[in-house]
Amino acid sequence: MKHVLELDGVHANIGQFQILQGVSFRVPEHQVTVLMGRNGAGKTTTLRTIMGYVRPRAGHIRMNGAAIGDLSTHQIARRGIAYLPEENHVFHRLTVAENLQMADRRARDGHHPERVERMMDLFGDLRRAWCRPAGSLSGGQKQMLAMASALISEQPVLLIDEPSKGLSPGYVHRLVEILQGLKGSRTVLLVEQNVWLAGQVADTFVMLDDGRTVLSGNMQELLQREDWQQQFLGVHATRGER
Amino acid sequence: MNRNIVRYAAAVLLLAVGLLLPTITGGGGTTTLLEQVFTFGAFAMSYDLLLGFTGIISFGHAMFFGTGAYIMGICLVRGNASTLSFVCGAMLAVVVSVMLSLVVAFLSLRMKDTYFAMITLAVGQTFYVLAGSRALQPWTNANDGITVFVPDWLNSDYAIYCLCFLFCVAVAFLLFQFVKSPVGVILKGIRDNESRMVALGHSVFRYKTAAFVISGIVATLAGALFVIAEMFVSTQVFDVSTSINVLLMTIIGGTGTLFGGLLGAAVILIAQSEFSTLAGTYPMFNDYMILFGVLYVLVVLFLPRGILGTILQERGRRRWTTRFLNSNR
Repeated sequence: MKHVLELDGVHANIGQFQILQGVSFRVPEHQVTVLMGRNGAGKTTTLRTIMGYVRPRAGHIRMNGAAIGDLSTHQIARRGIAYLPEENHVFHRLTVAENLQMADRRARDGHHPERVERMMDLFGDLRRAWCRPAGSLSGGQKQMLAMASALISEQPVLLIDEPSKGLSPGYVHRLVEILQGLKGSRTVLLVEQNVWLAGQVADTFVMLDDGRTVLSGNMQELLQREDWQQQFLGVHATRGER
Repeated sequence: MNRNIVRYAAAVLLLAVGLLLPTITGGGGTTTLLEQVFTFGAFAMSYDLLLGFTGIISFGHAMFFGTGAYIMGICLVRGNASTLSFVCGAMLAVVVSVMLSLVVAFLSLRMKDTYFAMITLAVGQTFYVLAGSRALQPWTNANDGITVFVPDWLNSDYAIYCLCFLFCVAVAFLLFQFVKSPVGVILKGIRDNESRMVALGHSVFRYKTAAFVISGIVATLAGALFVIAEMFVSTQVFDVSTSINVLLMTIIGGTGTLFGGLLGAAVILIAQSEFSTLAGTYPMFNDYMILFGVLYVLVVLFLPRGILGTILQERGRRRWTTRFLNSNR
């Protein structure tokens, strides 16, 4: 099995605080890998380090075998990674249309109206809000717009940070459908606290604790191991939010 | 089709009215005032490209305006006000503005907003000091400034007015095309959410530099025309008050609207002129800058989007977005 992303002993600091203290895992191609752990385990920092927002202090980050740890964020994005942060993920003063065009209009790739149309089909809410400023959308609509922005550029790798946070159950189910639809065509590294959602979409998992990789493997295995869920997440799937 | 014809007809009519305005208003002081409005209008539109479309606040934009004014002034003086010296002055102004903006961009654009503003202020003030220094007196005439003569074909109020008006129209047209181009949309994205733009694979530094260079070229050429209109240039063009003035023109007109800069320049310069006239009769208007202060506070409080920004907001964003989309499809 080909691995698209590889992290090997990655250490990273934010200011004087050492957040990542040896994160190592591999993300298989065309699968959904979920990055799990308690609050403060280093999940978001791991994504930000992969994207180059945080410089790794030690260790290696590779994409398709090539080191990307020293590249700037925009260069990493151009290697084929779309990043959907947890917050601040839309352009509030621009309209929905402009947001999508912005995401689609990568410098090297030109503009593709048919991709915008496909996103409209996928996210019906956005079609109705086409001309509205993104800042006036509801939280769920903003999340869908952010998801559409991440998908529209058709980057092979998606890093998604807690997409279900604050969403209503209806939007969460829609999100599950969308993420399931990506399987087989995109490689997804997902940060998610919702064990039920992770169980619905993920093929493999990586468990972080205190900035270190403590477990990794098949998602089904994690769902069956209530002791792991209790130990590292403090919950288990049957009690997870639906 | 019909809509396009109406649009072209309106543009031609506006152009004709603009060119005939001095004959309507009677010329003299009004023509001089209009020349100032158009040169400062172009200067303010160049500033709006930075502030309104890219989210960059510069306190040293006068360095470009002043550089253009001094280069044109020196070229005209040294070249005995020939047409060749005018052309050389304009070309040299463009070359120097590109070099200057690249250097300042390299020094400052990677900095956060406040540090960027401080660096531009420092560089701008350096030019102010240099222009007044004794070391450069043979070229700049130090604090006495330079009196400039213009080529024969420009030796009338109307010719200078036409030059300023056509320059302003050209700047408005070209900058409008630029801000609605894909690069213009990317600049708006940088203004809105720079970190997100980086994650989308855009080299933010490169786009900011492009905006800075274009803005610098326009501001430099506006300065070059200013010296032709005024026939005099002094260190005042480099002063921080010039940068603050253009900032206020842009804010009052409406940031992110482009044409708001021209409107702001018109409002401020015409108001300054009227207050100065009134001061002859009513001494209280001698301190009209206090009234300006009140005006600025009122605009910020009640029209935070500026005059044109508020008007456009009232007309509705939908119409503009639809137009934007149609123009890009």
